[in-house]
Amino acid sequence: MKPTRRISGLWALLILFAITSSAVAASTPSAETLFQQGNDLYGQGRYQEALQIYVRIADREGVSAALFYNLANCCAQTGQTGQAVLNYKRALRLSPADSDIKGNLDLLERNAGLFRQEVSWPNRMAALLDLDQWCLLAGFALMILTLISLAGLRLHNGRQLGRWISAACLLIILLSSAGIAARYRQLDEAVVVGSDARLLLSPFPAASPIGAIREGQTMYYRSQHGAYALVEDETGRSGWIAVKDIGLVRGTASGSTPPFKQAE
Amino acid sequence: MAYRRRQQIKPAAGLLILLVLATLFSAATGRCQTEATAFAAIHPEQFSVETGAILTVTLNGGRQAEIRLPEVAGLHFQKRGTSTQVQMINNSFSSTTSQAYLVQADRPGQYTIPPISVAVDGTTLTTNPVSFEVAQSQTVPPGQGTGSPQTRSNTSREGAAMAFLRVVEPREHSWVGETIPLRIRAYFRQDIKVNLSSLPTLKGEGFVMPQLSQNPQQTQEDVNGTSYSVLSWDTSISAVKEGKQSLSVDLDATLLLPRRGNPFPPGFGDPDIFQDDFFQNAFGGFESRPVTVSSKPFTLEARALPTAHQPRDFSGAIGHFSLSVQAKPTEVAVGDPLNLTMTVAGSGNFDLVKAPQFPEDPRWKTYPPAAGFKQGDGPNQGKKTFERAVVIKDSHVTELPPASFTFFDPDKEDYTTLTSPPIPITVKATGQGQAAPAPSAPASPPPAVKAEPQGSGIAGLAPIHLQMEGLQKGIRPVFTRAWFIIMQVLCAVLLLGVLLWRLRRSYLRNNPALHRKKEMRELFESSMARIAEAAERDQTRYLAVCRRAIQEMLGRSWRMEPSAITLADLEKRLPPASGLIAVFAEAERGAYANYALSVDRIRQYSEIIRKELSELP
Repeated sequence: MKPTRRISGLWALLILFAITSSAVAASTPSAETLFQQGNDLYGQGRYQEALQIYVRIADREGVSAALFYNLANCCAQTGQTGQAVLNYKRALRLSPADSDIKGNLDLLERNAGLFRQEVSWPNRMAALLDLDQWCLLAGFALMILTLISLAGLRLHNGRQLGRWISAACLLIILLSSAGIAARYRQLDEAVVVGSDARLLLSPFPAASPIGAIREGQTMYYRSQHGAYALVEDETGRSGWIAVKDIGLVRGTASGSTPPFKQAE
Repeated sequence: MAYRRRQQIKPAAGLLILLVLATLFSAATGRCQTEATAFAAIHPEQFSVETGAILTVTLNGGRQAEIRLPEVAGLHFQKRGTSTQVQMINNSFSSTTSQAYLVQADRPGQYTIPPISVAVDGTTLTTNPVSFEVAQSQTVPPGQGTGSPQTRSNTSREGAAMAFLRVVEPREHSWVGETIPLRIRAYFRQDIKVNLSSLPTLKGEGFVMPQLSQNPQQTQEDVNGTSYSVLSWDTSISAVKEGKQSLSVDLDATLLLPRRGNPFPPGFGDPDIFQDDFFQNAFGGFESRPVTVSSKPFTLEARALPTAHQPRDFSGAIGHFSLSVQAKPTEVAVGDPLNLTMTVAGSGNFDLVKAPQFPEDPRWKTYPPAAGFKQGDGPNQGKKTFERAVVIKDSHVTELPPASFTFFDPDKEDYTTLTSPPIPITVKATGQGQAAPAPSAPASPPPAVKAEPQGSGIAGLAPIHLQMEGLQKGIRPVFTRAWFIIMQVLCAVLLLGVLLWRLRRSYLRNNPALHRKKEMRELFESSMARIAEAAERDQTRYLAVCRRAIQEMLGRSWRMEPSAITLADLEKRLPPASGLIAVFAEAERGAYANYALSVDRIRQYSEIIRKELSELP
């Protein structure tokens, strides 16, 4: 009798667990449902509420280009220029060819008076693709080169064509390497999100300001000291900025808080 | 230092021996100078209570002299050394002995040392009385204190001022808010150790001075023959209220002065030697004396800026400035921003320099400027740059209007307005540019967004995305992803393998011996495979296959046509005992008789062929 009772008890526990799990699952909306809720709120013009939902998805489930993009739209509509620029740039990292993201970022920057610095033509060429795209191009060319080389061991026809393709692949790898080197700085790209951010001479509250910086301006992160980060702008001017006033583009968080080390 | 001291002591000892010999010689001849005289002198005749003077008692013509110093209230004497000079003129010797004393006073005042008694050879001589003046303190510079500059800057180390402070005085008047340069120079006598207790501070009301640098410029300078270490600060002061103010600059320091007196107990050697700088330094003979070094007070009048005709755009900038304005790019599309760089350079109070005025106009939109400051060579000199974004909204705009900057010129005592020249620009009317978010013509809301009721947003944004797509944990560069790394490593390994393969093939191709050896091995293996197959399946063809294999292998080895090789060739070129000859002869016979060999014979022939063909070169 005892084993039978034990098995019955186990079954009862399993059923209870299944019921509880399904109840919990039913009470926790899925990321898709939340995303749809956020979209509905955005459509009704309730941007702040939509923003909170998108942030919740990013914190709980993860991120995607569409999520960053919608989040950036909410920020732009609520006047948070820095956060909007930051999230558009994050969205572009995940979907570099998306014209909506590019268009909105361009529009936002123009509207906020954020102009891009004039760059030399090699840098303009490097900026045609982002870091990931250069890496993928180089990887693809390497793969083709490998296949052509393997085929050349067995096939004796079309060797001339193979040589041309190999040369083209090598050229692409070379150009991609230059592109990667030029765009490697992108890893440290950050955006000023504080509306009254100031660039300081040293990482202390009483330090002398070097100059004003604009919300939404692109900076490059160098290091961190306590609650301050050493950054450099596109003109090479460097200084310290409060961590709360800047967000790293490659951050994993949703954008409400910058993904730096915990400030001491 | 110790080494140098030893070097000095050696000649002194030699000199002493010479003097002793000379004295003995003169005593023996008995022709010394007949009459002795004594006199006293003090140097300098004016000194402070912190320092002292040297009293010298000189005896001419005597040998054994005993000097008895009188007691003078408030004065202390310390023996500092004796010197003797011996002269021989026309075989007649004369000697001069000088005894030096350090004289220090307890308090300032006029002093007179009465005649000093000197006992020489049983007689007593007296010197003249000596008068001198002792001052209160000497932390005032030569020429700025109570004494004359000549008196304070004499060559005596004790007589020169230990520390003083000079301020290169600015103009006699300034304007409220104006920043005027100020140079502070602190002088410390080089033989005195100094610890700064504070940075120079401005004393007085109505003017402020910024925090000074912890690292002033350090130089050396001679003042009236005395060497000083000079600390210089180039700074500025600015008036905060109008009126005539008396100002001075103070600096707190601690002077480490050599301790006067013998640090050793009585009877411990010659006390004079311990008065030397070497021993004073080596045995810590210093005393700290905190002092406040003050500059001579100076008066500065601060005037209020004239309010009549003060321009509206005056921001408080006072000084001498220039303005330059640049626009980049000069060819833009409607709605595109251009960067207006306005630079105000010169000298003055840059804290109050605001961005030059740029006129507002409905045809363009301007944004708040970002400012940056670059310090110049001087304390008030520099360059302040303002970058302002301007978005042109009208394609008919052909030039950017002048920017203006107003400041007060203290030399002209009037306001000056600088105006930049207009900058010609080209504005293209593109379709994309017209869609820019100009307030006068907002774009229609995107269809996917139902409403944009909140006014703080941006019109013309593309609609939100309705599909969330695949979620990932964060933004990771592709080169950190496992699949990408594996693919790249795999490709690299394969490429390396292909490269090595090609290298090997090329190596074999360029090495005929290796190539031939490899061909021989391949031919041998294929021939043995054919022989084994014939032995297994078609024993009637076995001998023919063997014969063919022998011909091919020997032909390759002897570089002959295989079919041309006959039994005669084998008998001629192979050793007589070679088994191949027998096999070849059997095969030739078999070709005509067409008979089959026994299994044992086949195994025997196969072994012979394998053994001998494998040994072919």
